Amino acid sequence: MALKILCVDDDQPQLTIISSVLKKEGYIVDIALDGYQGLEKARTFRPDLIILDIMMPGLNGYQVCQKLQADPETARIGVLMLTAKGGVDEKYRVASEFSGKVKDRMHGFEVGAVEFLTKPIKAKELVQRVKAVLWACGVGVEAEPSSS
Amino acid sequence: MSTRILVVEDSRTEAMRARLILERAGYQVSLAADGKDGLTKAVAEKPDVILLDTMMPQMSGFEACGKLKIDPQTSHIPIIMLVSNGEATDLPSGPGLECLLAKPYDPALLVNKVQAFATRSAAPAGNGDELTRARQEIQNAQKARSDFLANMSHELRTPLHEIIGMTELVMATELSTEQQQYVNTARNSSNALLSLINDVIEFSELEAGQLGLEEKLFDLAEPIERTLEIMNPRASDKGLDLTMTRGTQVPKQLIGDANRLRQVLANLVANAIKFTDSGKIGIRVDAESATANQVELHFRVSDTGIGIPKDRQELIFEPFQQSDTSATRRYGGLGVGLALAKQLVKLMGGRIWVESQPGEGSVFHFTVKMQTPAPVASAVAPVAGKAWPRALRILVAEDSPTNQLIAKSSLSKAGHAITLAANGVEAVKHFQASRDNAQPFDLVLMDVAMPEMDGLDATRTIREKEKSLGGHLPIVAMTAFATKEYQIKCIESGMDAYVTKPVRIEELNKTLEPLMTREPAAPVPPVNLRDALEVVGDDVDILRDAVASSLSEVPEQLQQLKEAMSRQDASGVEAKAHRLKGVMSNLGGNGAREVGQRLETMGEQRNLSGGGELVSRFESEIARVVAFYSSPAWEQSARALIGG
Repeated sequence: MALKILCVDDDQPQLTIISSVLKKEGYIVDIALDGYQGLEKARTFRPDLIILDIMMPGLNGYQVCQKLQADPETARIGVLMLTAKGGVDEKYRVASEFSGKVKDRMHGFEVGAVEFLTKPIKAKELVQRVKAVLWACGVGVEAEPSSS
Repeated sequence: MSTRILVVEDSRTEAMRARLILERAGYQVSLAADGKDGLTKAVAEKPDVILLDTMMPQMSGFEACGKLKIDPQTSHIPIIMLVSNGEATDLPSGPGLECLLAKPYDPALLVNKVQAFATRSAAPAGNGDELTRARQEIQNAQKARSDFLANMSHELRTPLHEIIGMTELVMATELSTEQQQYVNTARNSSNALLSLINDVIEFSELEAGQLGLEEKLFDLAEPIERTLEIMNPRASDKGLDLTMTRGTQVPKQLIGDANRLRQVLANLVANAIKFTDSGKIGIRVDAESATANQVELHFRVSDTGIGIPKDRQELIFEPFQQSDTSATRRYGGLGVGLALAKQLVKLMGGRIWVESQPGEGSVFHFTVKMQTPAPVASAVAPVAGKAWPRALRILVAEDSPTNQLIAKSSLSKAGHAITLAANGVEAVKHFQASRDNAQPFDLVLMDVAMPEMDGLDATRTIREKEKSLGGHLPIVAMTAFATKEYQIKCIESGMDAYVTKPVRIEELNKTLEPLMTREPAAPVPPVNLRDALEVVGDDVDILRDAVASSLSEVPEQLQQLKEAMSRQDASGVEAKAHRLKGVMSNLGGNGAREVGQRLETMGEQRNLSGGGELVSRFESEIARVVAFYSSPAWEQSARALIGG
């Protein structure tokens, strides 16, 4: 069964690229243009992985991530956070990575892994990181080449 | 004990994945989150195999790999480098890489490789090449011996210092002549023992490869005079004449390790005194095969002592050997001195040998290669040779006001326009400003040692900026001493050449010729299509969609950025610049991205001064990107790049 990925970003061109690349890889992709829409679709679309931009107006990526975790319905979904190189969000990442709830999620696979990816996102890196997070969450069975 | 694997990887999921795979295969795994952490843990934990990610913040995998391979504590540990798909094609053959593994890797493959290297590293019994194992054992034994000697000698030194100290205290009290004699002998013997122990320590350090050479400017007279000063009393005690002769061509100043040179000399002279009961000891130094910046010095230490039989002449340079065991009893000593001298001479690029007839004395010869400082010409050298057809814009980064003055006056005389920077930070600022005003420099003369940011870091920063700004500004290092090590460092940092200080126009012109006759750099294209294709995974269709989607929203975003700037709304500027920067960066518009980044930083720092101009520049950079993608020709170029 194909895995489902939800992309949350206010940047339309960025969404275009990510969703095209992932669709090509055989994933089912849905998009959300802000955090609120993202939270709603996390419940209705029930993705296996959420790609989350951090710097968004309204709810930022960290707030979305915390709300996802607080809701048992969505707490186990793996999250891939997008930061921009040299941007303020990257500093934010460094400051917050080891604090509070994000930290808890980072350490436990049982609650879903959180991973980061720095923009500009290259297609190959994106696919590889997505597979890794899915694998870490225990859902990327076909992402793992069978050992022989 | 189970095999231990250190996984150095900044991505937590990747690290966890590797850990689970390896633990499942029965290995003991520890994790390090970046290169620095990895180095520390490699030393502390002594893993059997290291798994090293290439792309990590702060210290890349390659840098970490290089450091691991240099450190004798970790150099033997096999390293498996994890590279991202596609990255592997343009990899340099890294220092001491055992293996590259492309991510995402097959778990079985990882376990396989780790197993192979762990086996090699541990060489378990019954499963290794006998010869390799034997060799390893010998190496281990040798290392153990050196370690033992070093430790032992350190242990000996401490109580000995106390003995010497106490003896000196006793000497300071009131003593009878007889007592004075006894105590004096005790002190001299202690000192002799101390120098012996020092020799042993140095020798074991040399054998362990832990001893390096200094490269400093010194007067040759200094080590020679210090040797004479120490040895003269000993010689006159035995009624020996100690003389010194210096050849005419011997340079006064050298670059090298004066202490080591003195040590060799002192060792040979002490030896000569020890084995000579009457007559004289002569030291002579001559210059052989001198080039512009190097000289080979030939030292001779001759004595009229007991001499050395022919069949022992080679052996005496081996550790713990004397020409005759009876000599040990008669003259004392462990026989480490000459072995140490031999090692030191070798380290200084020379050789050591002896000519001797038993009963007639010996001549010990040794040579060393030393660098000579560049001749110091008058600061403002006449403009000779080929002058440049046009005046150059030269940035001079130099912290010493005197050298600034020298460089400035000589270069201005040659008609060049000079901008001064007092350190690397200023140099980078001037570089950035020159690009902003579209008045780029033609050349940078960069001092290497400067406060705040040195010339090497400044060069690296400029080269990094050029990656997106384009162009290649010739950077020439100015160093006081042009040692090989310095040259390599300069070139590695991205410099093009180096000149010695003070800068002389002739030398500069000569150095510049190949740099300045290069074709002027082509204007930087607005878009790096290669980068854009990487973002979309070489899919032109996706790129076309992304372009359409981007271009349709750019005008509005730009408008909002301008409005935010005119309102002086810093957080608005930050947000809009961030957004446009992201769009440009996905399209490979690196020049635009750079400007966008600076606007974003301005906003973040709540300081918008000069922001209006920067917005205009951003606009024109964006316009170039838009123009590029408006012509359908880009698709053709893209397909050509993909090679489809």
